[in-house]
Amino acid sequence: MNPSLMAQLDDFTRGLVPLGITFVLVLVETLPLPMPGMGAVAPALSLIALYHWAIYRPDLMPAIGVFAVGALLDVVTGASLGVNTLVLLIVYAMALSQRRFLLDKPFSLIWAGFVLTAVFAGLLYWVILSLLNNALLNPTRLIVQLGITVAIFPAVSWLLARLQQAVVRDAQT
Amino acid sequence: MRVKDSAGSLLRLTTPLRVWSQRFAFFLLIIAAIGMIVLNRADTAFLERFRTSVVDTVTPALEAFSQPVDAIGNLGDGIRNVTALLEENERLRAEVAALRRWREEAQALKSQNETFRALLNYVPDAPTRFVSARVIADSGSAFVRSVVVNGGANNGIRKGQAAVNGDGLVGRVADVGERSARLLLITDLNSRIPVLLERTRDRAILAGDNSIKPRLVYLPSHLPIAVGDRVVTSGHGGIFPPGIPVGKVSSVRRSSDGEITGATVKPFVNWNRLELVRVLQHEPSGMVERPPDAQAAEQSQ
Repeated sequence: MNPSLMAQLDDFTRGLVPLGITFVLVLVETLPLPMPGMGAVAPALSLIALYHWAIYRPDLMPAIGVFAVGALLDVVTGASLGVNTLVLLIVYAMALSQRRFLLDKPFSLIWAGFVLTAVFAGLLYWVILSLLNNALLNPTRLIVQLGITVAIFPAVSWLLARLQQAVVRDAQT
Repeated sequence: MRVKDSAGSLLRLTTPLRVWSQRFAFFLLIIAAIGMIVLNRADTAFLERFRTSVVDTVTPALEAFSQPVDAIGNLGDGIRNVTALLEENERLRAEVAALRRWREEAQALKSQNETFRALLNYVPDAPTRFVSARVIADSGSAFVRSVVVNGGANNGIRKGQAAVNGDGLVGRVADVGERSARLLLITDLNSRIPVLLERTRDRAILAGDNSIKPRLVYLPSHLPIAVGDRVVTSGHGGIFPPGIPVGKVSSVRRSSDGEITGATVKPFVNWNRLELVRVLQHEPSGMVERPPDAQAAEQSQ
């Protein structure tokens, strides 16, 4: 077989990893955890993954992919279809616009950027769902969920970076 | 930038085009997302099919992922159980003794009941069959109380059926795919269950509000209810079988002249350990039918 074709195929497959791992994280996020009260406040892993890829490899996380991730999240969590989709698309655009500023900065600044992103995403989510339900929803669980998400961000981001080095970046050598 | 420079030649060529199309596509996608929210409000059959087929597709993955999580949970339980074995044994002995007394009483009441039923030519309730299914996904959202189970239309699960576990009522089937179904838990904001206060036989609606203690609404205002009263399904509306235990009244608020202004119920179900549920195949009698024009529209598709 043509080796350059093989290489292209290899690149292509490796390029699918960011999107693929984000899809997997959506499913992991919704697993029924055997821990008291964790179900409703499980960390938003897909949000972390989305922020990570928007900053480090936006070329491998196209907007249509974000749309698909959001729609899957909506369907699997049983939320109103479109809500997570809209929130993730807006968050993705935000992260993308700050990408050049954040890219070479120390990790603490990237983490701080994620805190702002997560707070904004949570606020947007709360406003949309409150509007849809015609009621001010109690945000306690959402705040706890965001707190856990922010706390777990370094660990997940580290894993994603290892994955990126091991699989995705190798594609260009 | 290193990452970008090292990108393959094919990638580099297509990058400007890709950026341009991404910007354009982005706004289309935002509009599409808003469109989905609006369409979802209308609750169209098309979106429902889309939702159920997507959940069906990811069901094998969810099942595979949830098994090790279950196993870890069971392992933790196992370790805890071994340490508490003696104490547990003692407690169970006492419980068995108490339950024996109840069994005697129940048998006496059962035979008495049968005699009365024979005297009255009572129409017996049809025995309820059920399907057991495992919870494979929890809602990962702070504002939704629902779970996905690994059984669907192929197993005889239908929309509207009640889901229970050993403790009591869990919720009702909201969406059904071929091999998966979504249960709307009784604590969800959109859940409304016709219930009965077992002691006073008064009807009410149990309305979820996303908290762990749903509210009782449409209660007669001077009802003598008290904290600790049992709440069961009433069977009104014909969707749920009557008499499924739901929970206990956990708080009652009254105004100064004794009128009830609010009451909450603590469900029997332990939401933290929801692993297996039974979906009751109760034949809905007098269930709300879809309007004929909606049925016709579905058939013509």
